[in-house]
Amino acid sequence: MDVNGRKQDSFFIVTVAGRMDATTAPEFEKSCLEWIGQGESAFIVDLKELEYMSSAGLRSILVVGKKVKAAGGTISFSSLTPNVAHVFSISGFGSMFKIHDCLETALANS
Amino acid sequence: MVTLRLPARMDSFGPLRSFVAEEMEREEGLLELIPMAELVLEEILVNVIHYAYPDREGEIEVACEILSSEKFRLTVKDWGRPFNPLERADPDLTLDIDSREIGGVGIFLVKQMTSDLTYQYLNGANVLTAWFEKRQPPPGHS
Repeated sequence: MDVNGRKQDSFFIVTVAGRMDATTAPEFEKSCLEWIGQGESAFIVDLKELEYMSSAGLRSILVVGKKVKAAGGTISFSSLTPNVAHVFSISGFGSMFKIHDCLETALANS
Repeated sequence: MVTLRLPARMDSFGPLRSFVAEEMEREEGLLELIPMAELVLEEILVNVIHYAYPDREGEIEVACEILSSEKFRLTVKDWGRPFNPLERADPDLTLDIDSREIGGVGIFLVKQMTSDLTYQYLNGANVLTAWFEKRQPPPGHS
């Protein structure tokens, strides 16, 4: 799994590629918590290149989501692949978080 | 039926995942079920590591059987503490981000991804059996 972060306009865009499972999800969590610690608060997480997510991934996302919210920030997700969208949908994360079709829509509507 | 027995550790997930996927790839009708079977396998492995063998390392055995061109059975066995994951309460999906508890989603995903799911404690082993079936398109769709 690869996790990268970059500033774009007033947003902080996190891209995640590969597989977010019990072994890799902690990396996502650690990176995001560092960015939150550095003062980033308007997160868009682009999952275009993420092919797989298990409950360990959902767990990390919820940890990060709670921290962002507690710090007064926002977090939304974009470009979910079919497998990831399925997991978001049945776990209720699809309604708990704001989801955008693509990064451009997320940037325009966040 | 083919089986693979490995140490119940997270680094066994890769080999177990390949083992299951290779078996499923033998039937075209099962290809679309592979991501769900992988997820179910991971969730069960994580549970076995945490609950069946909380204080020692044990083994996990995965058995696969193609039942038809569109139906597949995955059986996961361990010899740890008796533990029925199906008794775990489902998470409340209606809660917002503040109220939602962290964790507790794994077995719920397993239930949702399988067409049938059973637990047995047999001859000193936890045996979880999961069936995967290709969903028929709704009437009126081809």
